[in-house]
Amino acid sequence: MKGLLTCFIAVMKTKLAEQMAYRSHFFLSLAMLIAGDLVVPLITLLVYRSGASFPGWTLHEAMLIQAVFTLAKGIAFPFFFGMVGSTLVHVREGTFDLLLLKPRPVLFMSMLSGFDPDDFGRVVSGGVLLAFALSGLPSPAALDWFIFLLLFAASVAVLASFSFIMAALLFRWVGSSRVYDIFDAVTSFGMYPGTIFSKAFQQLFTYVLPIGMIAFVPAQALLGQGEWGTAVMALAAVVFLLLGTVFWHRMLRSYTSAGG
Amino acid sequence: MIEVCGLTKTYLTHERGHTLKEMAVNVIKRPMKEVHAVKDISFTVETGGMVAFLGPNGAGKSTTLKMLTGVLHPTSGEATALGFTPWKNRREYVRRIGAVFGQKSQLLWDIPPIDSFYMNKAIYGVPDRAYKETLDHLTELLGVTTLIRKPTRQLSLGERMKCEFIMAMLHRPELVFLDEPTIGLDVIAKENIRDFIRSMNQQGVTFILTTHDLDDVELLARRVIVINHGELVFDDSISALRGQLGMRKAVRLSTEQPVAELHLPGVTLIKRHHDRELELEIDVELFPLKSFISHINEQYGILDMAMEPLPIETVMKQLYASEPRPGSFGAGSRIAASYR
Amino acid sequence: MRSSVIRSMGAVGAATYKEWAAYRSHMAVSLLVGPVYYLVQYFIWQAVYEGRDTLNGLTLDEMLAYFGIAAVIHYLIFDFADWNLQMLVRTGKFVTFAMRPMPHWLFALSQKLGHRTLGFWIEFVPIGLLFLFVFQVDLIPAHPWLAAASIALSFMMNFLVNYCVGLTAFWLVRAEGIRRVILLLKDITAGVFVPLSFFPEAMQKVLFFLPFQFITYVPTRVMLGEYELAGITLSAGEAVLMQLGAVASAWIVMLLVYRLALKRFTGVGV
Repeated sequence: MKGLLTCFIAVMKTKLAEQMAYRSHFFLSLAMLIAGDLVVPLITLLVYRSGASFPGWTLHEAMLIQAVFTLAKGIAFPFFFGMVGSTLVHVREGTFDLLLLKPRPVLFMSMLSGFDPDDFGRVVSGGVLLAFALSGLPSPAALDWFIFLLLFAASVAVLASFSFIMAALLFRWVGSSRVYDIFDAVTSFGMYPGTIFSKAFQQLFTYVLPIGMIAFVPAQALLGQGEWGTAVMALAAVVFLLLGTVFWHRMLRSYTSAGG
Repeated sequence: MIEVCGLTKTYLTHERGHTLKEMAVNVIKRPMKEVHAVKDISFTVETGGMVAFLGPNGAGKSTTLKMLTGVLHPTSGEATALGFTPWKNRREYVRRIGAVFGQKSQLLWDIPPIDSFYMNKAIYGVPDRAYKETLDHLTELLGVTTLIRKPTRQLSLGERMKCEFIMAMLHRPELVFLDEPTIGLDVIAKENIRDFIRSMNQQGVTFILTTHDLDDVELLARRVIVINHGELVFDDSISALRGQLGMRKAVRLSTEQPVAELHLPGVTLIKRHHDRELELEIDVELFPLKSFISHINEQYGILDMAMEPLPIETVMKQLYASEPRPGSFGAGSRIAASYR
Repeated sequence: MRSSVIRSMGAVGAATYKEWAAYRSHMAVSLLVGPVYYLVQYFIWQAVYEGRDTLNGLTLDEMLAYFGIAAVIHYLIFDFADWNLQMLVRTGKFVTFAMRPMPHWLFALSQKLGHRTLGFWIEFVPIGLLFLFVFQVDLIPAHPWLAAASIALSFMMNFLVNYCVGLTAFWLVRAEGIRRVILLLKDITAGVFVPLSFFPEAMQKVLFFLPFQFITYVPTRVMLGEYELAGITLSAGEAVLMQLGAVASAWIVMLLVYRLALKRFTGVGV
């Protein structure tokens, strides 16, 4: 375990050094991330400015969901999401084998090689959004914050699992950058109040594909609508993470036993 | 050190259509084709060896090496290396091996090699002291003490390859796989790299080398394994490989008189530059050199003559050109009989 | 001369078509992504329109039609000329094009034609049918000929804008970030995410004079039958005429920048 941690820190250092080699590029892509994250909130703002709303949700409440969504990405993406891109490139160029030559768990190596500090930039945009949303809301109680943090961890787990599934697909589906499009499309349901969807979809996003867990459920906790019952829903996230990990390993197995 | 027994790799692949109609059909049903990449290969490598692994493109050598490095699972057969089954005890095994790929860089492009080394130190869990000792030793041996602090992208290919070697040797592997380690390098850089490999080999490191550069083979390897069509077609020392050529020499000849037809036992015309300049191949066992020279001198008058042993390339071309044979060959099978 | 240009374009287009046919599974992802995005929009606007008939001059049906039409148009005009060109410049492969007897922009346009021909079958037709019959989106244009002309013009406009963005690579070699910001702004100001009439009045006036509305907003409004932005109302025919003028100017700008870029390429050797 200690070995893995030293490993992780060493890689993180080199990745930061790598980024700093192109400082201007680093800051530009940071700006780009922040701008990209603000598109959906901008549209939400435009809708509310026109006098319309999501029924039962104030602007600040709706923004809170989008803030949590961005924050969860800001934590999950640097660690997990980069492996999607690195797997894409490694498998296409035949260099994934280099990771298999390292004396560490392959999933761990894969995550390390994809570690992407750029993505921490989303914490900034998420933080700005969160501050804006909270400014128009009654401040949450300590217990609400506690439940929120628990659910937020579940949210990160869901995003990690999505990353594993996407990376695993790329073992077979060589070089398809469109896994990103699938991810963006499927998770876009998670940026809006769950109540706007039909009952069937709400069930689907809670128990089958826990997209509601990414932002909607944790945000509800901060709105004081969370309770210990919702914390149980975090279990769905844990199961999803497990499934993602198993799927990744199965695809790796088929990768190392096929091909030539 | 390495024992391979009956290693076989078969896999299924899609056949892609070419015409529009075939592609339309492929959407629904994709024909599968079985590929026998490696067929029942067996051999052993002893500790401290330096073995060249050769074969034409697509012969199955990289599949074999992938299995030996634990990257690929075989369909059947066994292999042990350093006491491990590579694909079963992958993690413990790879900790003790190293790999250098001439065409796949392990260094990070935008930062100095020293930072990449440091990362590998953590990944392999090399203790601080051992790391420092090895690094000092290797950088001195390769003469790159200052270079390793420059960003990788500013290094020449030769300098970069030296750093690739350091990266691969930092954890003191006992067994190192080299894949085209001198590709694209200039003569001096090639010589540096070969010197380094030789000196590491003298320190007891076993090397498995794949390359298309036959100079690498002649200058480094003591033993040669040739794979073609997924089968082992040659496994012996480099001198035995040369022995395949028999006592044949390549001769370049300029004469005073034009040479018409040559009908001499053991002499083959390779190329006629014009009627007074020829390239020949003679088998001196069939036609002793002395009589060949006097015969030519009497008949045509020798103006100039150069003689060399046949290049190793000639044997390789013959080994590579061979057709796949029915049935499989065990370790150590020779091409001798069919060739002579 | 004319016919030889068309022949080369056809050959380049056909080669691109075949090249991408090998990756048809990548393209077919749109069959999932397109409908999913539409579903999200469907739920959003269903909720937003609760208790109201119009929003910024559009009814719920018109709003859903806007997103359905914009999505379908997207598959007809999709473009990545910018990415391709900057990659050629960055890797130094552009030199092989500088030596060909066909200007690269024409080559890239032919590639786009080939790529979109494949996209027509794999993306546009199935998604169009799905939208029309399953989601009941009103995809039938009010004025078919004007709509076809408008989409053809937006096809060109998207190419011209992206190609110009790609041309910046001759000056800014490592500026992937800048190009991505431009492309994001392009999508926002083209009306991909929300109809441009949602923007504040002052913004709308700016948007009216930018070339981006001609990529998505104008053809979508022409399909719907009428154009409105910044308080200006135009008939479909007038909107297409305006679009024609914009495309012609953008084409001239692209050719000028292309000439400058080649001058820089042969002079400095980027």
